[in-house]
Amino acid sequence: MKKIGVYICHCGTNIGGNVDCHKISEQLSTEIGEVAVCRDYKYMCSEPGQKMIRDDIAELGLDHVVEASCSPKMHEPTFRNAVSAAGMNPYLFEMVNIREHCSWVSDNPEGATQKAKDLIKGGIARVLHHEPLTGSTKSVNPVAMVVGGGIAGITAALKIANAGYKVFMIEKEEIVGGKMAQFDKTFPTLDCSGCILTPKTSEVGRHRNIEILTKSEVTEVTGFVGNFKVRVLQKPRYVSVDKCTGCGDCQQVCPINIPSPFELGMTTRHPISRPFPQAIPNTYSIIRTGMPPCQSACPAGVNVQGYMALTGVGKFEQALSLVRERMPFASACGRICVRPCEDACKRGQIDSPTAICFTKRFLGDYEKDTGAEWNPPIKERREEKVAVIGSGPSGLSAAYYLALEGYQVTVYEKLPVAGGMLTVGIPSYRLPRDVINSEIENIRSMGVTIKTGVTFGENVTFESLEEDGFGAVFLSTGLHIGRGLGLEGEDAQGVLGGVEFLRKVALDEPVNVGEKVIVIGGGNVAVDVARTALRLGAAQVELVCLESRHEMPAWERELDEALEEGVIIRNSLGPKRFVQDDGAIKSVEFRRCLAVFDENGKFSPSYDENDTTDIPCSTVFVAIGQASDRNFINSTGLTTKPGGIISVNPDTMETSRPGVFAGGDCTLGPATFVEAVAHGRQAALSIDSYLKYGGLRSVNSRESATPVEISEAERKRAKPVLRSVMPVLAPEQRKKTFDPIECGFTEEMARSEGQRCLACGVCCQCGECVRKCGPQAIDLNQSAVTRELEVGAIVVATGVDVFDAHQYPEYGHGKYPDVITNLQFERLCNASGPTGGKVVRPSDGKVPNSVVFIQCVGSRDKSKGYEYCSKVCCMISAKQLSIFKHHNPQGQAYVFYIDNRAGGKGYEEFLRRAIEEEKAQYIRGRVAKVFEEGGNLVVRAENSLVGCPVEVQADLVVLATGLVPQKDYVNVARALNLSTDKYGFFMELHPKLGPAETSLAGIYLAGCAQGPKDIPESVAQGGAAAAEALALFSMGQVEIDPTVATLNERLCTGCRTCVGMCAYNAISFDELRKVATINQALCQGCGTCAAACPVSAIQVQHYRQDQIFAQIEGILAS
Amino acid sequence: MKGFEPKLIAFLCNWCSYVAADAAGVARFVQKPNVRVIRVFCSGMVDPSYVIKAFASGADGVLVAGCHPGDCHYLAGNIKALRRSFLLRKLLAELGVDQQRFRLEWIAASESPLYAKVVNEMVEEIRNLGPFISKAKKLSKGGA
Repeated sequence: MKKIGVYICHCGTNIGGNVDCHKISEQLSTEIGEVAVCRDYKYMCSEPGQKMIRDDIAELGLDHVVEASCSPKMHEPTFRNAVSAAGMNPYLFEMVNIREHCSWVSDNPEGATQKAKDLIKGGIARVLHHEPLTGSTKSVNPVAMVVGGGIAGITAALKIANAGYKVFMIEKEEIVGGKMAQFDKTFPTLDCSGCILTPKTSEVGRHRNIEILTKSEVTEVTGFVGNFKVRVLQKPRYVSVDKCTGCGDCQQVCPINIPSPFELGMTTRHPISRPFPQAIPNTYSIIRTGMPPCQSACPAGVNVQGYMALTGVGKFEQALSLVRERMPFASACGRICVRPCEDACKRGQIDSPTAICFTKRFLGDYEKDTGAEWNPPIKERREEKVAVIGSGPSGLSAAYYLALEGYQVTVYEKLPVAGGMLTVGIPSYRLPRDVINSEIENIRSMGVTIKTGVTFGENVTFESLEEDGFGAVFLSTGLHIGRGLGLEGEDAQGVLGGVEFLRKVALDEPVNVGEKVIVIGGGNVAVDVARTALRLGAAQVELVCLESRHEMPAWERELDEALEEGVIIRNSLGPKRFVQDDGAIKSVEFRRCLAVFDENGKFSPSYDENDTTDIPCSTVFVAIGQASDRNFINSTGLTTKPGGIISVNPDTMETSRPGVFAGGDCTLGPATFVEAVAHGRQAALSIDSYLKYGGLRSVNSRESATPVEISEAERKRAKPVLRSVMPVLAPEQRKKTFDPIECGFTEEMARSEGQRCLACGVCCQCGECVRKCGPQAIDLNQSAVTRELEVGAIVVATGVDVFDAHQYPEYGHGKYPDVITNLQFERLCNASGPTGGKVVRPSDGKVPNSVVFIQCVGSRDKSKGYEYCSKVCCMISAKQLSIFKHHNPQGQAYVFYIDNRAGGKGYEEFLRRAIEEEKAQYIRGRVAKVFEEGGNLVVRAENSLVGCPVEVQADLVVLATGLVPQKDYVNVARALNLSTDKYGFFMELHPKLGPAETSLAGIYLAGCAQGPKDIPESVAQGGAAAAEALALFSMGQVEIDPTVATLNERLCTGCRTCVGMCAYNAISFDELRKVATINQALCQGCGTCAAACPVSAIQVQHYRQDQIFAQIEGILAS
Repeated sequence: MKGFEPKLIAFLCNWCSYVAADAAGVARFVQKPNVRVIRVFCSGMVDPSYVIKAFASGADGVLVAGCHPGDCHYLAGNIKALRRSFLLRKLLAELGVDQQRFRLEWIAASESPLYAKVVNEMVEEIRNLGPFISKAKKLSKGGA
């Protein structure tokens, strides 16, 4: 029979006070045969207690030991070591928790004693099934990763690096230094924070064992102590740390200013900047949050924010060049675009969207008016020839971008004029002919040849072009055939297609427009036709369409303008037949349209045939859409899609014929101008790739977009300026002429719109800094990279955030500029801060005489979810009022406090000095409200010691905001598998004995990430974490827990259930022997496989089924 | 049913719920002394047979508690526990175990008050249900 020693700890009165340890001990000695000895003792963990166990093992020859005391999380290692010292395998030992789970939480001694006894009996039953186990050892990779570059992380990194080991420092921000870099002075010595921090940061920066990864976040940690694998997402700095000399030329030319995050919004910075001159790394970097919504929404991907920002600062030339990088027709686009950018503009969530389109129009017109030509430079000349068929927006765009690449481009156009629909489809009152002509001229000036009056298929063919040495062809023939209705009488004289009509007018061909005109259709072409007819002398123009007013596809502003000019709109009528009189149109009979779309939203009009209307007329224009010229399309021999359009790869625009590309309406059906331009540019890039490399690649890789919803930061950036209104001709003035309706923006209006932009992407990638940078350190095309690191130890020092004072609206932070947080006050005092170290009011720059400090803002307040004391705020306010008094000795400071907490070396003395020497008035009581009265701030509170209300006039109010977990603590916790407390601070291994360790071996904690603390404590904990890591490195190897899964091959049926269970790929299937195999080096011991195995062939050592069953039986035996 | 003190077995995962139970002790959150804890590495380690074994050995209720979904120390062991629990519940119903007698809970390390609450709730519920008598026993009693 096996011999078991059972030891029951009283833990002073912690267990003994509630559990009758002695009684249990006596009972167990007799009840269970295997119990050779059962003792109870005051403190089993003490040396006499441990000795008792060791002696019994030696003298009585015990096989197993059961220890009933505190949580195994506390003392299991202690007792395992004790039995090991006596020569017993530590896995022959079992620990029973009768303190945390029993004596401390049970409300009656009788129940507690019974519970303790049951638990111990479970332990005894279990331990009989224990077997000796030995763990394997693994070598330790002596490389550390420190997450967080504040003072705690810096301390840990330097200590580890100075001991000769490599350290990766991962910092989320662009610089290291953390919160301490923002402080002015430190308590209780009032020495300068920068003066004690910057030597440390610079040491970190130049230490040969430390590699700093800024703008980086840990995304995943796998592996185990000594052998972690870490994935780090490194976001781009856009400025090379190696090349940047820190000269600052870049920020001089940056057109954007945003509130500085480092200065807590008290001053502005450029997106390319560095927070302060001594920052480490001491180089510039760029803040970019992603692609702004305007640019994401633009089919052509025009850098809207970029040209708006440049326009805002009057750099029109650069702005237009930026437009031209993706849009050759600034003037035309500014007049006719459908403006998806403005629909997406986040400024619209505040008042109205930025007038993007009109600003672009201004840029195009400004160039025309000043006679300058601002195109991006042509790259090296290339001899390859490219043919473009069709000179619409798509064809001309392709020609433009091919010309920029240096190719010799010839554009063939069937009509006698170039421009496609821009010239012959859009009436000149919307897009004046001279505007589009000058844009086409600009493209010609790039070396593009445009040959008009050349018909593809007749004058030129693919074969003839090939013979003439053209290396590639871009087909963009558009849709120029008006769709017919196919109704009775449609062939009458006086019935004409809308598209044909507009083309004839544009080409100055004769058209007869009668007195009474009917336009059939509800889209933009129909509106254009109606308004053109009006201008050609029609006395009455009626626009008749199937749709109801709100269903009409035409733009609202076009319809409004048409109505203003006198066009009559008649909705919900469908043509039934055309009534002729001697071959000429007399009237049109319409029937009532009941619904345009069916229940699935498909176009399928239904009519009431009995409800008819006869509208007399002399001319009818049918403008119900455009169709493809199928005969032409089929003659090309290219693969087509339903609807008679050419089939292309949407990423590369290639057709079924090698070397032939197509784009625009002939591949899309009726689409927008800006989509056509996007196609043209895409085709140009593909043709370039095709001619240079003989292959194609998608060049659509895009930066991720910024969120659609406006953020608080963006809201704050909004300048209170209303959208400029485009001046237009009055309806009476314009309706009889083809003069342009919109008169254009003035320079001031354009600049004002540029300044209304919220800079959603922050950096606008306008390229000004790139051109300015001497050492060419800037690369705006950088993207985030994932780095994989292998480290042995990890120190988590991710720090804290500051409580958001907006959660106390009664204190007026954000409402009154002179109510600031204590971190903002630090920046006010700081010599490199926004005021150069002058303590002045943010509102008017005056020196304050009365400053009120409000304590516990976001600390010790259950209603805000923060019950804890932030520990540092009492001392910070004492420090700040002292600094204030040094700046203004006549001033008076008031502190509204709950309790003054000044535990720490020299802290109480410092606080007394603030009261006695700086004469600060400390008033006990929570502040109820801060409000403005007669231009002054008033702080109202109750003096809780006297019990009366008080009001204090304040020039400046400082909120002593508490320390709260970092906003992204969940991501860090998930990546590292750390536990957090209910607030989000990381959990230490033990609140007293393991403050720098976590429950995960090899991962250590330092600084405020574990809980609020001051600088000396953060430094001390950083040192402690470093010592833990160094102890691990010094050991050189770690023992791997033997509690891993094992497989009994004789039982395994080869069902492979376990293979899919394992999250660590530790189980594979041996195809030869048809059984599972477990790689114990990868196994983490979770036991999911064992629980899933239908035949219990897998068991986790030390957590075997027989052991758990025995424990259950033992517990429930009585 | 007066004087009936139910016995419950709680399988707590080592990383979240066991820590919560320890923390509940440190905070002295009073609990009914009816629950006996068995520590396991992961809720995903709890073989359904453990639960059945506990009932077969005389437990009146069984609690399995692990980390919240997404927080599992072993990535998704808790999800596997959840997946198994559906079939296990059906099986328990077949064996005549009232559904209140088995609970699967997510209790994070920081949720010690929740742990105490779950324990006390469950003990009271099972006290009201009375002792667990297996179907087989009931049948043999009925037959006698």
